[in-house]
Amino acid sequence: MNYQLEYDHIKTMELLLKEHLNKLQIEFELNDNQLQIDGIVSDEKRIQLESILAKFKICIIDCEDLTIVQQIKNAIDLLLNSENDARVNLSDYLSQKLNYSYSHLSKTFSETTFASIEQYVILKKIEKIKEFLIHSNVTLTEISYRLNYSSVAHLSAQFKKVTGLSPTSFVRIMESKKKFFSNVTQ
Amino acid sequence: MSKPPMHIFLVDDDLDDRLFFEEAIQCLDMNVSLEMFSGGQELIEYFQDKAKRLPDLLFLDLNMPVVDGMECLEKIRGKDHLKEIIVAIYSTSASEKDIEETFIKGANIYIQKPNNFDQLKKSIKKILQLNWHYHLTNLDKEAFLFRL
Repeated sequence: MNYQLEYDHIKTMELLLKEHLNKLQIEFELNDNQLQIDGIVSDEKRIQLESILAKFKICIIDCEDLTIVQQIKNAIDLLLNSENDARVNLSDYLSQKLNYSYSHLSKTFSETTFASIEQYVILKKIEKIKEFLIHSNVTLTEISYRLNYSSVAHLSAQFKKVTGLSPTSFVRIMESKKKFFSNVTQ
Repeated sequence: MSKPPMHIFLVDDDLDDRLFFEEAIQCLDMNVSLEMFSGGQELIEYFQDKAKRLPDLLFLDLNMPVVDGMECLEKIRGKDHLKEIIVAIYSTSASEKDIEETFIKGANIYIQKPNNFDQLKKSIKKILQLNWHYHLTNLDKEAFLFRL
């Protein structure tokens, strides 16, 4: 026996969501596949919701983690560009700025980028050193002072540890590279 | 949760090296997809079709028959649509001259092929961690030089 079915998939979806979200006491609205939830959903509820929806092959697509990672990066950039970054405690600064606990921030960051916030800060400092080395004539002493390194030796050691190159060989390579590519394009 | 995987290519003529690399990547359990090529010629052919998906990170062996790694590197850096790819040279050579030459010609990363599996895993992990940042943010790729 065959039966013809008549249904409206949007209505079906709405009813399905209503039934399951009501159980979790979540108020919502559905517009064009976008679920708007009133208030904040606890992590626990969110996990429950995810597993319920997964049974119906419904997957929550969100970039919340990526958004947090970007916010962390922006805050770090801001800090490194300001004058007083050495006097600021990174974890206090980030949790105050972004209104999350540092453990949540650091977990989200490493789960998304596979590296720690601290590793990112060092990487950004190295980037700043590179910028100085390439685009200005300031000495290593001046750079280490501006970026709050205790000494040139400390700066050079960290640079070498992260990049595998000494600051001087980095500069030499960048200069040869520039020459090589200007010859190629001519 | 849907984070796009990092798309990685490996170009190496040595089958064993390719298998080790693949196994190391699988062991790391990071969010990556891997595609492998057995030679420079294959890679160049792949890149000729502009509709094909480009890698976020390309591991390139230097010593290969027919089209070697250096030639591949020069071809990649000479093409506008390929310029953004992060190139990691993956070679047995430890010569300073080779290393500098690859950097000058546009390589971003130089790793010497490790001689044991654990070291290989560590090296790849370090590079993926580093590259992830470049993959997700806009740092200066020109000045992205890294030697392991």
